Amino acid sequence: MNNFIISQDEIDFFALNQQFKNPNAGAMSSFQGVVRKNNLGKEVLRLEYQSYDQLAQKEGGNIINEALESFDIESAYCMHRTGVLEIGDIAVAVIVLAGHREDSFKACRYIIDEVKLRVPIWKKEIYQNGDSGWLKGAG
Amino acid sequence: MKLINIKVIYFAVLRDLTTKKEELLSVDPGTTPQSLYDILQEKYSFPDQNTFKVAINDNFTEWNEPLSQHDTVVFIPPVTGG
Repeated sequence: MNNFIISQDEIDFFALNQQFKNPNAGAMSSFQGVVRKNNLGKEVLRLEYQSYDQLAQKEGGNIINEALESFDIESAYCMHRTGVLEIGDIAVAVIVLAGHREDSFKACRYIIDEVKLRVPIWKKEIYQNGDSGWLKGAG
Repeated sequence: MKLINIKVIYFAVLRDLTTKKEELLSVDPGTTPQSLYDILQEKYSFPDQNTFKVAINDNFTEWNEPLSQHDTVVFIPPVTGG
């Protein structure tokens, strides 16, 4: 199974959680990135995400593999949305299963931090006042 | 000197500036992502690329890597996922 997925469809976090059962896992850590209604003082109406799918899936897969190698975890999974998202929609979800909580927390944090830094996905904000713009990123 | 045929795919701000998802171009042999970007920057008023990355055929690569026939080039502005 590919453990890094780009999806045009809504992320059903409850269904995702149900998919991941492992009798060796005493800990499950998860993260959801959710569309919020303001950024840098502007009222956000909605977001549009674009992805360079082929490279995003490759780089996302690399990040999952790094987490599996670096931390004592059983499995890790990340799904990222593309397309138009409304306030409150889940943009990205990470789920990590591990024997114990410490490495599950660490791996979950590692995955979301690296995804935001490395995976070629871009976010455009559409504002209440009719303006819009691609966010600049960290550079 | 025979030109080489390449494809450029645009994302994010570059897609907005070109109003194209992709285009086919014929370029001089020896063209690199850097020299290609310079040409496109002139044509489409692209921003400076010093914080950008570049990929050839879905692999990150260097700006001075010479392009080959039928390569696909993607310029990658700073990413903002999550």
